[in-house]
Amino acid sequence: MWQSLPEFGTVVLYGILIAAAYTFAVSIAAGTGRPRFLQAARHGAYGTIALVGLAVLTLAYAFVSHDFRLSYVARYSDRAMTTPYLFAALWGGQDGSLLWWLFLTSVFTGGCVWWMRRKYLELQPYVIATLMSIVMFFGVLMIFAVNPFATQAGGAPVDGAGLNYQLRNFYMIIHPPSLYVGFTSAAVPFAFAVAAMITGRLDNEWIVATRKWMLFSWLFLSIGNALGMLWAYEELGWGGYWAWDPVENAACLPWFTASAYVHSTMIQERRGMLKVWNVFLICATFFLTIFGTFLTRSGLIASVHSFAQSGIGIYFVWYMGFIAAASIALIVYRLPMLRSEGRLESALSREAAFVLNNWGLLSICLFIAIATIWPRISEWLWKQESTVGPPFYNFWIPPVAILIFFAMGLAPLMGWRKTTPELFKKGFVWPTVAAVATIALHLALASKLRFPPFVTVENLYAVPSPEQVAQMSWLELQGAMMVHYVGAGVAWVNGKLPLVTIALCGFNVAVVVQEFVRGTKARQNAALERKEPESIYTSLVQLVSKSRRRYGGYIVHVGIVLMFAGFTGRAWGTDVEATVMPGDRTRIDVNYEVEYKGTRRETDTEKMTILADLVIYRNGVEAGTLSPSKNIYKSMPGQPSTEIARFVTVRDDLYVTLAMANPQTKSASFQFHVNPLVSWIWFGMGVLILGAMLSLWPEVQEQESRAFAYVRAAAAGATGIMFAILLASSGALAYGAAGSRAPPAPAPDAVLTAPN
Amino acid sequence: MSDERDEASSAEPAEPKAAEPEPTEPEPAEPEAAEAEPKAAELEAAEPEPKAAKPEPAEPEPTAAEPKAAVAVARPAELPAWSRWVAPLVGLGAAIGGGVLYGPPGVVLVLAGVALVSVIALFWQSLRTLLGETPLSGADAYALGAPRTEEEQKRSVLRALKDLEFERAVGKISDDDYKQLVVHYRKEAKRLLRVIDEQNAPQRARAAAIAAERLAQLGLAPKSDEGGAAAREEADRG
Repeated sequence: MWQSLPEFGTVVLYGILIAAAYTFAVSIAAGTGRPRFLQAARHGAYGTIALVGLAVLTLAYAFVSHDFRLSYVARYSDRAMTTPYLFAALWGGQDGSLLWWLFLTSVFTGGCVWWMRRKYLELQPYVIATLMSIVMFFGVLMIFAVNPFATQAGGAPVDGAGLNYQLRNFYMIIHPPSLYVGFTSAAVPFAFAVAAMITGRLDNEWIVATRKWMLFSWLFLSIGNALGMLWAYEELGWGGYWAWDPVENAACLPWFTASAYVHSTMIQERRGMLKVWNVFLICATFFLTIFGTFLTRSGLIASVHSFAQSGIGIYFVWYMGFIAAASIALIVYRLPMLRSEGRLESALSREAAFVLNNWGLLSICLFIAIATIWPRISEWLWKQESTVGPPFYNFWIPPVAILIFFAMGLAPLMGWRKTTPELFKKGFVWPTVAAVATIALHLALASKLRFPPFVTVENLYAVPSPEQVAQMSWLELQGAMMVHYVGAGVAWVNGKLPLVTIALCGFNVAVVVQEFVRGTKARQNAALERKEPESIYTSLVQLVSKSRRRYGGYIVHVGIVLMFAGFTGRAWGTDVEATVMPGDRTRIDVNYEVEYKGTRRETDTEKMTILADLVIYRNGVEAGTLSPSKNIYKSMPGQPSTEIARFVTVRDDLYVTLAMANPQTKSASFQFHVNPLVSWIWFGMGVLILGAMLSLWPEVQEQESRAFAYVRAAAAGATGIMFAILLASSGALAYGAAGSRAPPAPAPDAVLTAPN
Repeated sequence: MSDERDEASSAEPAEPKAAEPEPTEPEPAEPEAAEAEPKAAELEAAEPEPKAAKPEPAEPEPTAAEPKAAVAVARPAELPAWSRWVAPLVGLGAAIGGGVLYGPPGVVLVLAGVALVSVIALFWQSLRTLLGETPLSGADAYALGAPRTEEEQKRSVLRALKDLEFERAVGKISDDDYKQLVVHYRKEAKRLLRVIDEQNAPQRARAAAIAAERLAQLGLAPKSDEGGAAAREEADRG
């Protein structure tokens, strides 16, 4: 055993701080026009990255060699854990996850420095300096607040506590790293924005430089959030995939600003407009990644996903304050250079549609941010903590989301600057026909598919009761009544949204198809003019391959359409709770009926599993069996965990949770959820990934052979399809255990009476 | 999510026949490479300065014509080229060997050792560069590597012209608007090209003088060019 490993790890952390400070200083010096310093800074950046890698490997060695002298290793691993979980434990707790965060930031710093090479030489010093400042912050944080190499006060235990069983899950191995990749890669666009503002090179240069980095960050934020949804769906056992938990919210906030940026950047590239807005969005995206980390780790807001409360919050508060102050100061300093070169000339223009889209995305972002920290705001304002739950979000967000969904289809129909009414109508015809046809189809098939076009949504804001009225002032009563009437209006709108959403799905798909058709035709016409006619297939392939960013974006839109359809499915869902005896048949909805056969027990080295066997009947015909279960781990016998079971079809999921099994009476309690179209969300995410990868894929260089270009294209397609399959076939991949933590889940000690 | 500067080339429409004479523009080409492509094309058409005068960002390896300074910035000085590939391979091989002998701890320990050696090597290299112990004359590269504002604006205008072509081809812009806009953008493109041309004139004259001098040395220059050295001196002074 390496006796001085803890000390060595701490020394490496100090080394990271010193190395990053050195590189920062040399980079700043290089900014005065000294190329030798720039070269030294680049080597320094690589060296710092290697040092961070050394710290991670040192901690990894401590895990795989079971060095329980380290407090972090003792808390998050034990001798029974397999090697993959030992590595996953690197980010299983707060200390290690911050080191992992630093490592990913370093990897992207290295990638960025390598990628810049001879590009952006004037921006480079400040890009490197900004990235090093981020490394320095995390270095300070780990040395002074959350040192993963800190030792146990009472000496090394014989065995560790082990990784939480909720984290021993396939998705928890890949979900946090995916999110972290999205979070940390947002540092690169931020560094470019800072460098552009410091140097005053605020033309399109930095926008072009950051475009793909931000798209990359956006892609991984999407993947990370989708995997988080899958994990929640598979493991938390409450029947849904998004509970508006503060940490979930924090993870999606930068996604909104990044989505806004990847659209608004096109306006700057094309029209020289929205320069301040774009700088703001990049700074806000980076700020929100830090804010999300702060929210998860500070204990500011209670969340099922939070790490243990610690004293690191104050470090983050200072750092966020510094980021905000520096960003605002730089923007104000460069305001004269950030003036718009054009103006919005017409409401019927692509710029206007993008601005609408940006407003919508930012509105939702702001709404979620405020609602998330509402407990603290209310405490500050009224000395009384007030929390908003999922119904609040589900009530207010859909109307705004549907506007963004509409703007998504609207923008491609518009030209830049202005679209004449004639051309606008021409572009609108087929998508409108498709929307109307979708509505007609939906209305015709609604009863057969049991997807009603309209649903009843209750107003969240009831009329005050006479007792409440008696305690209210006149002004308060008027306010409450106004909120009630606004709520009634929103509830009415929400009740119509299933049909509107499905109609807009048809509209958006038609827009994308029309864009492909028009582009292909235009290409064919151009080929005919050149007297080199092309087949439709050739034109289509060439069209996409030569405009990957545009057509990749359209494919992303199709993915979002599928996801919106999946989200809408929740409006038609059914939730049933039942306690049954062996042989009982229970009707869930008009499609599904289940027969409870009884329980059985399985035991392995680490746990005992109680399985309840169910036979599923779909439309009266036996369709399969499901066995939801409870796991009782030997190391945590008081915390049985839930393993859900799903019967998956294209139309819906039958999602079953075993709430309780009584070995004496043989009775069992179940929660049944029929979730229509939920698989469409995962499939849509796969399509989105495919489209984003197409947009991201680098250009084929002139020197590159055509054969290799095809190989790369095939690799891109295969990767996207693999992701899609991975997400869509989630049921087969999820394994491990989880406790019931999210909304309607029962308390662990109430769910199971352990058999003898 | 859609690209606004790509599509013109994807449709590959015919070059517009507008009232304004065509500036010395390249034909709209591969859109994603727009950062690089107009530059390459304009070097041929509008800015006949040697490629060496502007290190091309998109190219992975410098050409022979590029200045040594650019090469120096791109590569760690004094490290043999093969070491960049062999060293990681040796590290990887050692890690596999460690894994075979000692399992996962062996792999991690060897990789940690490789990381430690890399840290030392990289900071050694950084300090040597900083202290001037490595051959680096990057001043030229530094000066040349930063595109001017006008060049950025020119790229933007070229992209706008390509977009216009695509929008017309797919029927998103009326003919009247198209004509009005294309005249506007071409006028702007010509102005920018003129400015860039004027800015590049001294370098171009210097390059021409160097070429003339070299040709004269080889005995290939016409008699009138014999004064290449004098011309170069003149260009240098200019």
